[in-house]
Amino acid sequence: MADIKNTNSSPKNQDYQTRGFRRATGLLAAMVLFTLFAQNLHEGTSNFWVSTLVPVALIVSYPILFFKPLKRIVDTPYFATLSLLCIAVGTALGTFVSQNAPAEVFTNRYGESGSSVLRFLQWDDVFHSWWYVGFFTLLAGSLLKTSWKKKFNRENLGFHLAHLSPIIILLGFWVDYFYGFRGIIQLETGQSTNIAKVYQGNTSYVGDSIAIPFRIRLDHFEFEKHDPDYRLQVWRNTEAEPHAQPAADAHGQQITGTPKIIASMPLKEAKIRHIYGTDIYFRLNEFFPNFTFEYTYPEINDNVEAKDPGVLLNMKTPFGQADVNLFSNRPGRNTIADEQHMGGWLEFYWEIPEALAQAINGQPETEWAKVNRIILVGTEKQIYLWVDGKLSKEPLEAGKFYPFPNRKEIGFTMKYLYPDAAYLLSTPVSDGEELLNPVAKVEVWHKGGHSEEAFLYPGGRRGGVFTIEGTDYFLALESFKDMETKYYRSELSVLDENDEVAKSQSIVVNEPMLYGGYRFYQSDYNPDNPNYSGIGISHEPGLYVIYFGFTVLVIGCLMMFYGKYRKQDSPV
Amino acid sequence: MLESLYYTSTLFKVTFFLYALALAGYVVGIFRKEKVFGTIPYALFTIAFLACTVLIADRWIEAGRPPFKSFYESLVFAAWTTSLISLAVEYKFKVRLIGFMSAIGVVMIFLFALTKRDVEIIALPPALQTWMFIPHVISYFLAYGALFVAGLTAVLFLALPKGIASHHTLGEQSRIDFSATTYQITKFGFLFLTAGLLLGAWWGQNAWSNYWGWDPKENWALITWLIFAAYLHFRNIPSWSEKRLAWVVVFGVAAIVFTYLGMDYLPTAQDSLHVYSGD
Repeated sequence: MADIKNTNSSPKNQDYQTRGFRRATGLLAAMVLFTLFAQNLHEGTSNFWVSTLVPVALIVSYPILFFKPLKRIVDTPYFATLSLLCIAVGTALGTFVSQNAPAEVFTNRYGESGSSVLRFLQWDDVFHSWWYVGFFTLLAGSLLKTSWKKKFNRENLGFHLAHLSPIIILLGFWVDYFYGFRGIIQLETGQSTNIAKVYQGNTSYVGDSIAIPFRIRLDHFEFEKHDPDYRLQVWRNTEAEPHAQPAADAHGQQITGTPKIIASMPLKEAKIRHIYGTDIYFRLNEFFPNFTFEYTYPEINDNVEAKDPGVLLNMKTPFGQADVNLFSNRPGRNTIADEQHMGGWLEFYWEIPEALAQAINGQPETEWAKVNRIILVGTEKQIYLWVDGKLSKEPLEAGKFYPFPNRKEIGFTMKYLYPDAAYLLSTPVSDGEELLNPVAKVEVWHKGGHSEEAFLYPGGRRGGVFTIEGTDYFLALESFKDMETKYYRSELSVLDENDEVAKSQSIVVNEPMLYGGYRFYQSDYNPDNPNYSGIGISHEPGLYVIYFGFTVLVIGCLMMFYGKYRKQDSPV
Repeated sequence: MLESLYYTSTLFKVTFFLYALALAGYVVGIFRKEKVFGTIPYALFTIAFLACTVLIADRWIEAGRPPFKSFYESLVFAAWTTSLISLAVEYKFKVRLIGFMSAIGVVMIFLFALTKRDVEIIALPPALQTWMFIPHVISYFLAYGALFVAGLTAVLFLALPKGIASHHTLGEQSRIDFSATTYQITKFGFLFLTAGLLLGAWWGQNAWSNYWGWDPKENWALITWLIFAAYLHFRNIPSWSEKRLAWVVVFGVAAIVFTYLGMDYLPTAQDSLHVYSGD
């Protein structure tokens, strides 16, 4: 390419140029027609002669027909430029219609007749169509001829590199097209295989299977999400969709419509925030990474009337510890009847229950005696154990650990035994700094109005949010970050024909394993199956040729545009 | 949009304000030929560019990763490269009008970025957790910035085919030919467009075992490359007027805008790996 813009436009020259343009267009159009007929014949019939020889004859006759003009046309600037534009248009066409889709998907999308027309034009697979490849072939011819005509010297080095490198890239590409493949190996931990499913064309539609000369074993797979990052969020309910299911917040208020997040703030205590367009302000008063209540019972005389007696127990299970209150006079709140997990029931009564009294007298109800029970009696400060049909009792001591019948790892410690829960003080605290049960205590107020306190906790629309009365806004405590994948990694082993490990490597996205001319990529996982890993496989013999072409192209352009020895740009 | 502006960082607001101020300065400069009315907006544009640099650096630190992931982040970066190229071009060719038009472009990019504001910073998915991400994006946005400015000079050529005299110039300059300027900038942009395309292919091979996946975004990146390659070759066709050449550049910029913003409208986009997250 010359850097000087030629402005010769005499009528004679114009005429020559017009002819040059017509010839180039004619040549390219004829190529499209020839290849379209050839490819449709090739694909459309099973007759060997018709499907192979006629297309070959068509393809061969095309350049012969144009032999002389071809030689003259391909190195004209018109031809090179038009070829570039034709490839651009062809590529654009390929983005307007689904490519390589399975037949039924394609017909569904474009209808019977629509898809036949598209198929005839090879529009269902533009990038492998003969006409599309034809453009590249002609462009390659044009590049070769143009370069050939230009003198090989230091001044033109950039020009030659820039114009020959696309041919190198195309060669690498074609080598890969004919001798390479891409696919996927789906394995679970411990499994090994030498079979890969091959991708159809350049899509992820799976086609045939292929065997590789060694086996790949998945030794280990791991997958991690990002750490949670809880933030205070302002959401707004937009117009309700006609069929949206109403949900309720923690206070039973209905939330309708599709909520939209408006703002998200880091958990900075005491900083006053404002909701735009309103007179509403709020601030975070306290954040509890692992929210729990700390209970205290005042040291008062035992002569307090037993209005709402209860017991505060610290329950210990393999999953952790928690404070639990049982209230004698509140039905449903005086028993933990989880025999399956705890091996028995835990019950609290302030006065001795009748059924127990009968059992002590040796006449237990059969139904009642079926289950292992731990019965705490407040007035007596006694604990009755009913295990395997036998009754025992011992005094209840604060601070002593009582395991469940036959379950050493589950049990309870009594903290307080009290005649009236009204005197029980509960203070929200955080049990450690680990993010186990995050809760945010916020304060919300209208400008100049009274403030309201609310506890926010994660869990989406079904609770834990705070709806600001009289507005569409609600506050939430959520983390989005931990919904995203941080990494996934497979440890692979290559097994040779004797089942011996030839290579072991761990792969992550962007760090594939190379073995025997094949590359293995971390490309898929299944959040529901922690043992599954999708290993992408590719075999691309032309890859380094392509990389070489890339480098030469950039160097060539650089030399041509800014090189020391190039012809200097002249002003027009 | 005002609501979005309300929740953005102070740094964003300051940067946006400085760009708007630079634009106002350039508007005044159109009506006043004194040198100082060229120097002041140029200085303001430079300060706004520096503020934008801080904005990007701050985001990089806060996110703990290169800030090129979301649509919003990429728009801010596009504004940054456009102002960088514009400042360099205005300095080299001493034309105030380039700064004026770029400032309009940058302010519009910022307004658009506001509508695409990130409520939260998103983490990088595994495929983007690689250093190869950085040169690929930087090459492309330098190319986009340069070609956008080239598109502006091409428009200036179409509007002022005879060029302009010193009235609109910063410093000593007799006459400016916008066609030649367009060519100089396009060459630079094309070089980075090539580098970006090839770096992308190389990275694609590492991340998805595929240097070329005929993904719509890849295809459109190839199409823009081909259009600008065609521009460089059209220059060798004597009968192609400079006016037509300028139109090719404008058309190429339109293709860039479509590649950048229009992928969602393609029926093949659902298979794309390149569509920006965040709407």
